[in-house]
Order: sequence, then C-alpha cells, then structure tokens
Amino acid sequence: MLRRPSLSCREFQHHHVEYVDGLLSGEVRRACDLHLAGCASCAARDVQIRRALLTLQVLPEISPSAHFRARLNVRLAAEASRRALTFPGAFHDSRRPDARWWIVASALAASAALLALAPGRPAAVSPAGSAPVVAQATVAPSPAPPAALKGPVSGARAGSSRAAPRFEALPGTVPLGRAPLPPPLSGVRLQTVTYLGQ
Amino acid sequence: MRQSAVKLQPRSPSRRAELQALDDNQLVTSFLNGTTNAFDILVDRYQSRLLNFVYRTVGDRERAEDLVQEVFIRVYRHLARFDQGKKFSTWIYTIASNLAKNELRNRARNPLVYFQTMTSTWEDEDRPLEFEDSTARPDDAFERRHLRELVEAGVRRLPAHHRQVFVLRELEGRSYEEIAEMTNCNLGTVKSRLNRARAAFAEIVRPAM
Ligand SMILES: [Zn+2]
Repeated sequence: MLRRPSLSCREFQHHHVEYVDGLLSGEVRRACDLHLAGCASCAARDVQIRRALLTLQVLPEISPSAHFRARLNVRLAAEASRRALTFPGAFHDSRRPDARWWIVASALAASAALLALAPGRPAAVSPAGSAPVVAQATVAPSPAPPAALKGPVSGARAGSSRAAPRFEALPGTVPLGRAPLPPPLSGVRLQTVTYLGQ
Repeated sequence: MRQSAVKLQPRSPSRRAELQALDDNQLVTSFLNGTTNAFDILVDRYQSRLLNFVYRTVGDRERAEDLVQEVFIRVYRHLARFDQGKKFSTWIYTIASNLAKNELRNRARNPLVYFQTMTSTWEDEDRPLEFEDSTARPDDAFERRHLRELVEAGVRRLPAHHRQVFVLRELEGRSYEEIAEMTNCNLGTVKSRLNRARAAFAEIVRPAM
C-alpha cells in the first residue's frame, strides 16, 4: 500500500543536506524516509548524490613540499624581527633580556638554514625578499623601515598583480589594546646563538 | 645570551611530547607565555590540513603553499589578540578561507594569470600517481586515475562560493556551524550552498558512476 509522502519534493530537498549527513531529528528524518519511499525522482537524486560523495575518497591527501617548513621559518623569523623593530623593547622583559638579539639570531639561522638546505624554489615563486631583507634590516635599521618589513613578506609570485597582504583586523581577534605581543619565534638554533656570541 | 637561548627553546623530546599533549588553545596560551616551540606544534598540526583545504579550494598546489604560509604568518602576528573563548581551529580555517576567497577574487580579475597557473598545475599532476596500488591491474589504475581526474575537475568546476563550503564539509569534515563562522555566512546559506554544490558535483561525476 502506497502512503502519500508527508513532505513535498521541495521540502525534502530543503532537508536533504542534513538527511544525507544523518543530522535530522527523528520526526523530520522519518518524514524524509517516507518521502523517499514514495518519490522515485527524489530517491534517484538521493542515490546519485550519495554515490558522488563517495567518489571523493579517491582524492589523494597532499603534503607540504620539502622546503615548506624552512621557508615558513624564514618568514616567521622575519616577522619576529619586524616586530622587534616596529615595537622596540617589546621583547625586553625580565624573562628575555636579550630577546631582540635572539630574534636576529633566529632570523639569520632560518635564512642560513634555508640557503644551505634548500636548492631553492624558482625565483618567481619565492616569498618576496625574505632572508636578505631580514639581514639587511637588522644590521642597519633605518628610521623608516624597509618596505618589506612594513608589511608581511608576501608569498605572491613576482610579476603577478596580486596585492601584498595588509595588516587588517582578523575575525576572531580581540580588539587592539594592550594585548601582549607574541614571543619571538621558535626555530632558533643553539649554534647560531653560539655564533653570535663569538 | 647562550643560557637564555637554551631556556627559551627547550628542545628535549619529553618537552615536545608534553606540548603535543596540549590542545590548541593551551598551545596558544603556552606560546604567549613564552614557550616558543608551542607555535611549531600548531604548525605541525595544521600545515597539511590547511594545505589540502586551500589546494582543493584554489586548485593550484604551489599557490596553496604560499597561502598556507601566509595563514601562519597572520596567525603568528595576531595570536595575542585571538579570542581564546573561541576554537582555534575555526579561527585558523577562517583565515585560510578568507585568503583562499581573496585569491579566487583576484583570479577572477586576472583570468590570464589563473589560466597559466591552472595549466601548469595540470602538467604537474600528469606524473604517475603515488597513491595508486602498484600491484593493481593496469586498467584498474587507469580507471582510478580517470575517476580521480573527474572528481578533481568536479570540485574545481563548482562556483567558488559553493566550492569553499563543499570542501570544508566534504573534505575537511567541518560542521555547518563552523563553516558558517569560517565563511561569514548564516547557517541557511551554508546548507543551501552545500545542497547546490552536492547536486552540481553529482552531475559532473555522473558519467564515471
Ligand atoms: Zn520528491
């Protein structure tokens, strides 16, 4: 005996996302079951979508490239160093009396690590002026910081028209005030500190 | 100086294991309190996930890496102002999502750059597939590869705002509520985009089923 579906096709489709994901409450779910049992068109669509979603399993997971982390460390060190220049004394608290030099060390270490370890990505896709700029700026900071240190080191390809990212407020952050600055970056290597100490 | 650097940067395996046991928000607190390695753990935790998400959204692997780097830079820069009452994962995906969205918007203004990028990605993807079972029969491998290409194309062909929601849900397993927050949409919009994206995707991959 065929029972009349309690939902229209439109209503069923409205609930379909949650129906497929198993997120509907008992009553609505039963109404959807009922609709499917009596509507060949929605049943076919339901099967088609479920089967299509299964095919997503063939997509391989990709991993970061070999130099991803080294590049990131260089950029983070540059960021730490930029902060030290922009907010002098920001890291000069009782726990980190020489943290500014430490940041410089970390920047140089990361730069050196990248230069030594990585054959390098093509210049066209390297983050714009990362390591050399850091070294330059820390050795001879000018009253007006170099442009590359005012903004983040952009990952945009050279020659592309993509605008360099700006320091805008991010969603999910608390308003600017006396929020503490992040500490300088990890990734510093002891040997670099030793090098500076020599 | 040396002494202080050693204190700042505890590198012992046991310390690292301690950090790895912390949840994201505890790592944030720990980092802000001066445990610099805590940021490394956050990067470890999110680099692959974000890369896959951004790659599936923008369709260009190299550019996805650049964008994920930018995500971590922004996280580092703004971490002190992160509202710790919220979930760190939602926050970092929101940043990634915004950057991916900007990337797609810039491409729409610059179709030539986009085209060149995409074709170079396709060439790169023509290499033999590492994930395939080498013991499988050649036709299996062929079919699997064909299916993979179709599925990848299916995701790429979705309109950008549908694709973002689709990837967050189907590949990243994010909840509707999280997606709403990440994409700055209301729940109804998320469900409706997901509904349309699923239907469009199913239509695209139908020949392979
Ligand atoms: Zn129906």
